[in-house]
Amino acid sequence: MSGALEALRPGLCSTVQDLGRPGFQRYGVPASGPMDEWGFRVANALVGNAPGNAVLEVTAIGPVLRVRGDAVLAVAGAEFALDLDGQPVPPFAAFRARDGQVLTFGECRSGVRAYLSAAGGMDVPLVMRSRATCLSGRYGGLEGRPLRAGDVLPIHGRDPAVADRPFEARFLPRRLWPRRGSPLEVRVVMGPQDDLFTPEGVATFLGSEYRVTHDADRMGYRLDGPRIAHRKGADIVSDATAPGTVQVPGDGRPIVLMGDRQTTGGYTKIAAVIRPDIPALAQARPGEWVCFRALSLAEAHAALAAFLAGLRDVEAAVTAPPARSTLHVALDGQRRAVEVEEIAGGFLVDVGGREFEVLFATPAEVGAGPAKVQSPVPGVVAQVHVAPGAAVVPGARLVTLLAMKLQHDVTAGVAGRVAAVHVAPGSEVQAGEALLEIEPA
Amino acid sequence: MRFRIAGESGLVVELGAGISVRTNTRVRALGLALEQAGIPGLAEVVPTYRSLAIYYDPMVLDVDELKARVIELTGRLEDIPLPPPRTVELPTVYGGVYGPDLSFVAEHTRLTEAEVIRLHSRPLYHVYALGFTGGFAYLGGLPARLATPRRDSPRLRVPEGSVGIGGQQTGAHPMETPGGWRIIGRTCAPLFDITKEPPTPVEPGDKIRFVPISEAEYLARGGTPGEPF
Repeated sequence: MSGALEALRPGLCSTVQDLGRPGFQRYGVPASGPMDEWGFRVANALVGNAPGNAVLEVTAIGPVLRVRGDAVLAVAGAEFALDLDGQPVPPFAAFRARDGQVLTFGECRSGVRAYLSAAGGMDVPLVMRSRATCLSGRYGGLEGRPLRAGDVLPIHGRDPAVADRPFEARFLPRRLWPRRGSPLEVRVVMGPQDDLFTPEGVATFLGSEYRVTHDADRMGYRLDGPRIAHRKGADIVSDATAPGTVQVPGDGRPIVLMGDRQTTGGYTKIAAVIRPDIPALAQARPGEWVCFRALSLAEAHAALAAFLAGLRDVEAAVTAPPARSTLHVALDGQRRAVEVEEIAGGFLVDVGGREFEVLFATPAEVGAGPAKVQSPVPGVVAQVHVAPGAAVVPGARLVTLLAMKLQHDVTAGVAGRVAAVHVAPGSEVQAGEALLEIEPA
Repeated sequence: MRFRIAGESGLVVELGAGISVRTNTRVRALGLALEQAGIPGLAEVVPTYRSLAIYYDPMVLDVDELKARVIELTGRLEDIPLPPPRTVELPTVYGGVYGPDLSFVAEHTRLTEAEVIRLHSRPLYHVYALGFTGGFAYLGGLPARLATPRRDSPRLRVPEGSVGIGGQQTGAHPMETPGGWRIIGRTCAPLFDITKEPPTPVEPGDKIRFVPISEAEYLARGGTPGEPF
């Protein structure tokens, strides 16, 4: 089964990722790979792929894709509203898409990054044994860059056993969906240069809450909060940077280094986020809060073992046949036995031989009503292209946002006249915040 | 020797305090020796100036066992036969449109341009580490005479292959990136090739020499014709 995904709209930053290219860091080549390893693995498991198949990592604003050739797809990670030709598709579930259908990523309800997998995997050339994109190096994935409108991303049924298998409606049971608290507690192992910070500096790092700034991308997450004090400066002889390294430059504010980080660094490193907690951090949005908790190395190894076992459990839960349970309920005052089976997006309830599909309600979509134009992401307004009274047509550029160091144009969905503008260059906006209002023609 | 922890899967071995060829050579040797030992659960080693980062799988390799192996190997590094470092020559066209900052460096160091070229191309530079971007070599051995401060603000585009001086360091751009170094020439030797394994002509511990060539020779060897930048 071969096919492709044609990008009608590319999304904010959509890159092909597989497990990355470890083994090349001594040449200065970043490891790259998925920011949320957990979401990535679930996406592949849902479509029956090997754990490391190449997927499309979607960031904050997702793409609109036309499917070429029949495909089996799934989305896991951040919770995006999804529809196929206008019909809602539940996340964390495999679904079939027919030739010509259009998959639209809508509002991102929680998290930042989701993984779109296709049975067989994305088919881009191997670069240094990997299909992952290195954005800073401009190689790997789809020509070393994010998806652009007009791109055709091939899907390859490389493994005939996968491609010829009949469709299985795999889904992740809702009890296994990620839950994140605020502030997000992130566990770290101290070092390698924690001794270059004062005791007060270490206490500040472990005892404070830090806000994720807009300077958060695949290379690293800049955090803002109480300054962390060095003993004698922030410069060291450059050494290697492990995943999740928390480096603290001279200004005392921590930066957590992520997948596309440079392989060596010359700033003091106070700690490293443990691998099991990097996925949750990769789903933290600008404006959200994190705090750090130190583990001993033994505790960190135990946490890693639990994380890996959890991944195996999730992969098994996705492929296991759904469990049917019998519940004894009172229905209209009468005691009845009903059979309940979880399905993608809800439950199948069998009452005396009659089946009902009970689906989880989706919250009201952002962007309700054509008149209010809302920001799709947290960000900073870079430019406002219209003034009150201006006539606009569908597709007209209204506002340019800077989100996670990337530019995104918010365009008009309807024809009309600009009634009010609520922002100016420099305005910081939340997801869903009103940017301007259009009176439809 | 000092061990440091870099996350749950990283062990850093520091073999010295400052920057020296001797320490870096021992770092290289330890990395090669560990790879030769074929230890299950050892994923990757990354040599830098004075330390070796060892990335391992804690589910397979116990960190105390890894430390014990490192201590044992470090004790007999000199006795382990290892491949000698390579010397790689980088044919470089100096000045003109390829080295727009050559005259600045000459003025700053109170040398003639020819003397700058001679001094820059004489040493056998030591490759301490690769980092910053794929294939970028941190070199040691720039004559102190040639030290020149970086530009106040970096150029947005420095062409691939550009050779420059930044403070007390020298090096070459493996790909086009922004950069603040004083660009004195350009090499036609590929410094980073994603189709090759390894993708770089040098690794930490190897040596580099810049060899002055004419523009005609540079172009004949496949160098990209220069344009002002």
